[in-house]
Amino acid sequence: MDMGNILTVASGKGGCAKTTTVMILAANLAAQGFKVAVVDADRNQSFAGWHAAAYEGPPLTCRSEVDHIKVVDLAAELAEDHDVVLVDTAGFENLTAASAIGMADHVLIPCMPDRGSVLETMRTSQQVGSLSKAARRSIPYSVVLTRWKPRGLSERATLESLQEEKISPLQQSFGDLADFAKMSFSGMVPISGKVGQQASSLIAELVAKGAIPNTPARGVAA
Amino acid sequence: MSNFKPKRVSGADLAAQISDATRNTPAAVVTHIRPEPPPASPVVEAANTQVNFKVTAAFADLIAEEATKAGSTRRFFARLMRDAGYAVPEADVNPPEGRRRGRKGG
Repeated sequence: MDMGNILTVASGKGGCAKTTTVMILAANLAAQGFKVAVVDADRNQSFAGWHAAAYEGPPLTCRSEVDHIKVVDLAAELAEDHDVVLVDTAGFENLTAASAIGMADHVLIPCMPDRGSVLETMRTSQQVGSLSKAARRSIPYSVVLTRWKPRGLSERATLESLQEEKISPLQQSFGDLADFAKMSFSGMVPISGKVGQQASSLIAELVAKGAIPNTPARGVAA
Repeated sequence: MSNFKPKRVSGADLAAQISDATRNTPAAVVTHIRPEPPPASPVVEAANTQVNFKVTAAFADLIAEEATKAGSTRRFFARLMRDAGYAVPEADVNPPEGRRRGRKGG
């Protein structure tokens, strides 16, 4: 059986919805029958805390590791018996996040419609490039727009800035919806409705890019 | 889309591979390094001189008796001479405690 895919969610910007993106993807992938593991590599342990205290949804494996060497070994070990391993990283440039990028099959960079987020998206994409060179392999990445209002002025400026840097974000964005905030308290991740549709479309795009396997091979996590 | 995945390297190998790119990257968890304590101020030893002299056994017993009352032989002689009007250094009248005093085996 093939190894599972390691998908690292990273950005030097705090609060750009990295953990929220991991929550939505993990729960929706598990709902689609994928065996999913999440490595919380953020010292704040936002995902792990939420998973332990609030999460109500299809089972998924959650482990915490902030050491920059152990995180690589843990993700590789989990990839042996999971379809997808999502790695949630801290919102600042750090060694553990660099390792998580260096080992990833794909890096997902969330970007909010604000200048700081755009700058950090550019920095993170450059970091992926330099880590690709150092690791002597190509590490593909995608940018997902978060807290996105399609007709907003900040959104337009964000897109223009990204285009100037020749960064094309994924077609599917995560909207600026109250459901994302609610799930952090309720532990219930929408797998239908607007959020579920956005998650499904994003997963389909990531499958097309090879970031996520086409079909589940292992069944849900125990 | 190709499903080819390169062989995964260990954490230690990856850290070595990307070390050039992460040279200035801080750790995820800050390690608090206890600062070096400042060097202790050097103990200034007063220039002391050992005094020995021969006396009779009876005088030695008398000195020993009075020295016990005064606290030490040095203190006994220093007080005696200061009381007699000599300019005796304070370090000799009240010398610093140089050794532990206590019950043995307690």
